[in-house]
Amino acid sequence: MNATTETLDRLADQTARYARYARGAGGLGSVIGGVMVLAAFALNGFVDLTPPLRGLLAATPLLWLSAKALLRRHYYQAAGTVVAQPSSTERRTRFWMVLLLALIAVIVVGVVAAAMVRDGRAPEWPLLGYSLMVGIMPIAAWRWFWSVSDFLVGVLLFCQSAVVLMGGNYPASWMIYAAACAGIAILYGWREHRDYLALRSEISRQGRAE
Amino acid sequence: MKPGAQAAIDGVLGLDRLVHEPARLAILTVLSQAEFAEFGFLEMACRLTKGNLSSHLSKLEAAGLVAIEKRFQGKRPQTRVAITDAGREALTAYREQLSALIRQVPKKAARDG
Repeated sequence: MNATTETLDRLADQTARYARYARGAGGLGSVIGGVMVLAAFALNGFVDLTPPLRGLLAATPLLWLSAKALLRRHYYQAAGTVVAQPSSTERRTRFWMVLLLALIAVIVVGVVAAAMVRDGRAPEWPLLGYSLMVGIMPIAAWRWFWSVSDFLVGVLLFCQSAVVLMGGNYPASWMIYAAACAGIAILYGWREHRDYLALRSEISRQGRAE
Repeated sequence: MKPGAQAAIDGVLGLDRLVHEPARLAILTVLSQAEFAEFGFLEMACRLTKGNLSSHLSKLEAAGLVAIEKRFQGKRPQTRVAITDAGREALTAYREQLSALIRQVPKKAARDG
């Protein structure tokens, strides 16, 4: 009977660890996001942005979200999706973070719209692109951001994408903040990836033993 | 028969047999840790064949302990399984019963086998 409860506890623990990779744990997705933030802000600050480069920088949020989804589906949860149940604290924290982003997005888009109305200007593509990217950010956060790393990387990538679409760029002085956020995401992502490798070898060792 | 031994036997007989079966217990344990799990993961984690897993899931679904949702993701069929509130309660009750039973077994008896 003791063996049974121990086996069940182990099974529960392994499932909980595996389930984290559906949402909360980005693993290599966070590492890739961190590297993308570093590269994007370095290009913003130190390189003259040509139209193709602007296109690439504008697409970084989409590229990052796609990389995360592919890694989850074909690597971390290749054995089948298991979605972790977020704790009430996680649920609450995420709700307030998304709400904060939504409020900021409404204010920014509102200010842009008010300025256009005040100046009697017709909507221009660069401004529309900027407003669209800022407006999409809270929706993307609600759908795909689950961890601190996701919020750090995601918000920075969306913001620089919006600015680049408008024809501007982030100055080099932002590099320090971007590097700090990227460092956190890379560190956590790498740790999560190592945890995953440990879980995988634990499961395969068990399979061989049986 | 000693009163302690009688109580232990009554305890074993009183266990929920639907949950007590090892494969079903493993399925419920896995599901208790997640919002839902796909069929493929259950197959791997519980080390069951497709047929065996299907049969156990049908029994658990009939008892209202799990909910099964079949859907398509693109052209790929996908079966998602989630534990219900009743399933969670049944698992908790079972584990409490089991722990109580383990505590009842005198240490000497356990050592002697």
